[in-house]
Amino acid sequence: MARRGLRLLPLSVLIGCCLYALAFWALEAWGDVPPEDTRRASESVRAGWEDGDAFAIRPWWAARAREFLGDLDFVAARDLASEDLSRFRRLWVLSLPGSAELGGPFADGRAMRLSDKCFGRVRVQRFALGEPRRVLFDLRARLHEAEVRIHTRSGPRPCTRWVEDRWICSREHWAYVGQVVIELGTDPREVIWAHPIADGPTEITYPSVPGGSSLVIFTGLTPSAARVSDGATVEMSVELDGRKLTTIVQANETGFFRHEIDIRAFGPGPHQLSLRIRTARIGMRHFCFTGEVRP
Amino acid sequence: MSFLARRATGLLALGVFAATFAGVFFYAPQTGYTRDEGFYFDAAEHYAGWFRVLASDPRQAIGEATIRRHFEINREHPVLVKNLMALSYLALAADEPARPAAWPAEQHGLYARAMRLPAHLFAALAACLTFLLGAAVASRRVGLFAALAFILAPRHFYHAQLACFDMPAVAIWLAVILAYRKARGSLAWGVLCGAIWGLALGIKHNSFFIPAILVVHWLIVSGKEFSASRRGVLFPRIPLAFFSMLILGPLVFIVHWPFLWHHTAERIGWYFGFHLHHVHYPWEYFGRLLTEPPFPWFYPFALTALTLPLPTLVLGVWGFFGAAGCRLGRPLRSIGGALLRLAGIYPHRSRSGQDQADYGLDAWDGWMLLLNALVPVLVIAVPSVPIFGGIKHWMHAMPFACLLGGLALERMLAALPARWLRRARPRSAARARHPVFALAAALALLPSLLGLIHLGPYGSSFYNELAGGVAGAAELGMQRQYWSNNVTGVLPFINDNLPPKARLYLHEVTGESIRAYKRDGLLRPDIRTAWSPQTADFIAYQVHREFADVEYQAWHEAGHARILHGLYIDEVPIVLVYDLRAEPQDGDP
Repeated sequence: MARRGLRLLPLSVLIGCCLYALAFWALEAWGDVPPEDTRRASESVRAGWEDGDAFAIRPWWAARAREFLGDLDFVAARDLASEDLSRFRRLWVLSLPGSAELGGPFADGRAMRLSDKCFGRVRVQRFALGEPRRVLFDLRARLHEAEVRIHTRSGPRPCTRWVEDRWICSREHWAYVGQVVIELGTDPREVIWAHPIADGPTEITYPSVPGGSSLVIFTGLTPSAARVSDGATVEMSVELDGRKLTTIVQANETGFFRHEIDIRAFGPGPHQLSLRIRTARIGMRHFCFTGEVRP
Repeated sequence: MSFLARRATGLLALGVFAATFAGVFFYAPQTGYTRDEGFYFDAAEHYAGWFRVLASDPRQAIGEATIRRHFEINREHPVLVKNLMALSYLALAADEPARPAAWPAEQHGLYARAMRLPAHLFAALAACLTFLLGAAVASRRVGLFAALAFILAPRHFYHAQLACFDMPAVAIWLAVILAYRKARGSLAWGVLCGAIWGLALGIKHNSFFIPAILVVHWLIVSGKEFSASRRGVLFPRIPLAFFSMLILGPLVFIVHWPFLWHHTAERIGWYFGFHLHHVHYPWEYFGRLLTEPPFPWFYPFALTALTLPLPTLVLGVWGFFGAAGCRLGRPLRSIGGALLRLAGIYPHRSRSGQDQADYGLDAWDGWMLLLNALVPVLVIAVPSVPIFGGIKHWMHAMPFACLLGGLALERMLAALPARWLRRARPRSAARARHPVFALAAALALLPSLLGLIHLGPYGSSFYNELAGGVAGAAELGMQRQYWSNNVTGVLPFINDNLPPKARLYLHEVTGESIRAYKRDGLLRPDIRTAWSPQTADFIAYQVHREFADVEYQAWHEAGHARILHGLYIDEVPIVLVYDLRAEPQDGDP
């Protein structure tokens, strides 16, 4: 009897696989999320939207809700739990069926769930994140106020041409200091593109920066840059009022790396902030950064 | 014996051919034009020009300058399929206007239909030859199952629709193997085999691997005939087909390709050089973006496991290992036998006590199926070989895997107790299994059909039940489309909603494909092509991991992340349309 059972095992496995496959496609066909559910869920988000809100979609790759909400603040992070959400007061999370539960602050109560509703198959949760931090000075937003120059061997060469969103520093299409949205690590980031240039270090100077408690700088290389096996590190020295605060060394790694510098000792300002970027080899050094002064 | 019974194999082969052709031909207009197709359309039109010259002035046509003028384009691929496309174009679509006279266009897709017609015939031939090979090595029902399992696999069906070389390469590969098999007892087939291999070379360069497989096969099945003694080394008889392949193969290859008629060595050298130093395109694989070698050796196996419909996969794998277990001889027979006994597919002993042909196959056929199912996959498993293009680069292994799957199904059903086959009588047990086999085959093939229907014309996005479908693939971080054909999912919206003369960046779609879309009435002729988000009013972004920054650039240009319209499969974004204008006009989308 057992022997016969074993002989029938392959057929049983096959039938099992067939039934699973049939059930899978049946569920795919009948389990679709109607676009109408996303629309209704989005409308409820918009109806309850307040200043300081942001929204995210789970799973991270889902996008349809952006048809209805894409003009609002959107957090496009794959890992919400480890994302710095301190700019926002509340976060709306629209989830498709089967999305993993949110972890980190969303699970341990640091981000308090204010509401949880389902619109058909789309779930909308609203979390309180606490008082949003204030930003005294945003390096990316104020880039047009900066002075950009290249320190060549024959002396500094200013990049005087501001075109739309960038300072043009040479004829090379990549040789500029400008506002971009670009992938760092696995997520899009609003940063400043500052590819080092062969002629010499690039200096970006903000002449009038208010004082605060900290200067937070984020740096990173793009994924394609980090894939270069012998890619050089990029150094960014940070000076405030001519005093060197630190040198950030960006290893050949993609990501969005945070560096916090205490600037309380400098007083209320205004201050002159200078960032000097250099590397030993410029090949594929898609270096990006942003930063802000926090109270 | 009735006429039908005598001609059953031929009639069924014809039926498989006709049904496959009809399915592919009528479904294809829904499938967008791939990047490569655009290039091949363009090349075929150039080659058509040469055929016109040939018809009017043959002497001029064979001159170097004329040939170079018409055939230098797309010289990285041989021209058999493209020549057929050119002839089809001349016959069916050459008189069509380059743009529809009015909008909406009165008819859609005639240009592409003409260009794709030869490939559709090759696809039908591939299914037909799979059936014939199955009927020859096992039974008609195994052949029929294999043919259906092969062509109904959504990725295969997708490739069957395209005016590319991959499905023709499958068909011609099968033709060479069938000819080689027939050449065992036929001088004519021995000669023909060489000529067919020449045609195979004229379709795609992967045919260069066929002789290697045949030589390995010959060494294995004739191994016992080798001997070395004091009298010298004795070789088994070398198949005539090898000689004909050696002579006729290169000859047909050169004759079919006018570009090689002059500066032959130099141009063949360039052709080989192109493929030996082919660039690598990025490919998303389990959350990683593979950009350059070494690539994971497991890549083709993993991708097969995630893109072949689950029952077909299970049967193919079972059949492969079952047949391999039988073939690998005594050293492994104890292990294989144990597995096979466990699986209930151990070869039965005949009443005379002699082993029957293992797994229903003799050694010759068994090794032929095994080698052809494995070697094309192994070639891509070499870490330095380019991996872009998904499964198409080892698709010619799949008919053989499906045949092994059919054999596995046969063996699995043989384990059923006779009393379960109610009408079975000792003398007609095999016949009594027909309905059971048909039932089991239908059960195994139905998921393929459902997957095909579910994905519709977006076959390059198909992932199987093991992967969790397209959404599962997104979660796993797998490449969810390539070749840009899915853009057809947003063209109706674009046609209906974009303002007149809007500048549109159809991301990843080549100029040649855009021209074909306009020519075929699928894209409004007044829409202007932009080549970057910075110069566009609208962008239709194809969601690719490697091009993520194109979308972010669109966000930056637009100042928001609002999608105007999207193509989603199971909520997975495939193509997203953005409005990049600073100030949309009233009444605009």
